[in-house]
Amino acid sequence: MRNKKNEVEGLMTEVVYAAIYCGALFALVFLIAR
Amino acid sequence: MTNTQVRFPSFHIISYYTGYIIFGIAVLMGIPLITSLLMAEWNPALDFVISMSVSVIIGLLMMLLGRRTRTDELQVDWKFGFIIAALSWIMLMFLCSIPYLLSGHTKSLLDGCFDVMSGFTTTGLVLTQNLDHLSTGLNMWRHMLTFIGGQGMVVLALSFLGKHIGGAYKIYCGEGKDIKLVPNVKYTARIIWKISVIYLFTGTLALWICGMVIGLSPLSAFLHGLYIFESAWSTGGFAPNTQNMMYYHSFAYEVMTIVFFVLGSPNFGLHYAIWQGKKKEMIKNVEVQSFFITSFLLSALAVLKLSQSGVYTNAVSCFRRIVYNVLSAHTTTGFGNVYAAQFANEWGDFGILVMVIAMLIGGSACSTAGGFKGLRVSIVFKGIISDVKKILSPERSIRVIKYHHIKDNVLDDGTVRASALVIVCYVVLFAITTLLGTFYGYPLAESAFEAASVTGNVGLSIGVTGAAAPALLKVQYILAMYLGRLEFLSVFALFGFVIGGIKKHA
Repeated sequence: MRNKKNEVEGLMTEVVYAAIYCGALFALVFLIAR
Repeated sequence: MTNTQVRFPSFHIISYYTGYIIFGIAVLMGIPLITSLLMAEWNPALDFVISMSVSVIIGLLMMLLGRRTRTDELQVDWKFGFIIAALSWIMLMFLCSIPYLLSGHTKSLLDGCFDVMSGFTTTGLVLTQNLDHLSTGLNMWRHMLTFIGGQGMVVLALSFLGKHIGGAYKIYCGEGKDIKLVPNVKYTARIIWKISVIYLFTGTLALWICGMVIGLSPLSAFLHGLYIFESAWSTGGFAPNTQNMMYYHSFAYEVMTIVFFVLGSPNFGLHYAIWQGKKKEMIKNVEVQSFFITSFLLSALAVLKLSQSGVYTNAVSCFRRIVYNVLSAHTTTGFGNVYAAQFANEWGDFGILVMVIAMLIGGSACSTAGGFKGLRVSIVFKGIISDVKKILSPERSIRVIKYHHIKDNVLDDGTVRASALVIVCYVVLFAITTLLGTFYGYPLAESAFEAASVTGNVGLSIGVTGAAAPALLKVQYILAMYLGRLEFLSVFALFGFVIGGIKKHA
């Protein structure tokens, strides 16, 4: 049960980090190309 | 158990395990076969029955020829592990191209082999004709190949092992993966598949919903979602249509694929560590840091140049057309949303060079990605810094340089040398492939772009790859994809074994 919870949390963490990374990249592009 | 000594034990070991891997992949042809039957595509279904029968028979025959491996419990040593991995990839390239040939969508066996190797190595370059009118069964097979290839055929075969076999780890390493998530390699292989399958369900669901929102029918949205996720996660680049990502005309679809291919490119060890609750690994890991720095730097340089030269004029188009393609190149995915001719005519030498660098660096070690990997770049970079510091320090001082990758590791000369050697091999392969492109009359920039794409297992094309390309160039591209994916050592071991055998009996 605890493993399952860790896995769901791990998956969510990775997706959130990847989304933040995309957001940061877009901010960088916005700063350069606005 | 028999007491007679086994003659040619190497033959038995290689034959048995290569046959085992071939048999495992052949059974998987059942999935496109069932898909074809469900979609009432009778001719493709027959193609898969024929292909599956041939592959199963060859696999079983090889296992039968090498049966003494099992009865006499012959052990796999490093040499055999590497040879089995390299040989099974070559044999599977031929066997898995049978459905392509029977479908009539490839012009020759060479083109079929090219597409299969492109799928297995998660490259994504295509020579299949009339891609928009492929049967659902063949499309399922193409995308399955790239998904299986990303995780590794050997990894898949090992995860179905009934009991632990001696030397399984050595075959596993032969496929360019060298991380043990748990002490037992069978469970390591299962963890890799578990992570991928959980993502497969989650990602397909997300893309299915997005597909329906942008106007695809529920069935079409599901199939496209499944195919695109398989390609994105495996950093493959195959799509069920010739226009690749441009087919969807959707910013949301593009952003979702970025998230999936960025998540597909890290080391499986990193995924496992995070799923075990070690969230700080995401920040501390040297490969993540390396990817973060290089992807930001390369994206910024490309945006700076292409926005200044007026090719893309606003932030959204810069993100969608430049950053998307740079990330796709860097993670070695190969999804593209600009035409090949646009790279050649609009991006200029600077843009092409940025893409070549991104493609050559690639993703992470022990992942679905290709290239010479961020870990090796970091190790060599730290090695150079360490040497400079050594020169500047007092002679008697002792410096211990560490890098964090899943755990703290001491940077020794052996590690730096091994990483530098693989990078040198990649660069030499890239140079030879570029040279051959220019020999056939393609411009240097285009030859280099395509060479980086095949060497790094990326799949973006500037227009060189096509059914009309010279046969020798196609063979070189197949070889480059194969060498790049297996990271040289296994293929060299196979060549050495064959040449050694010929010399012995000459």
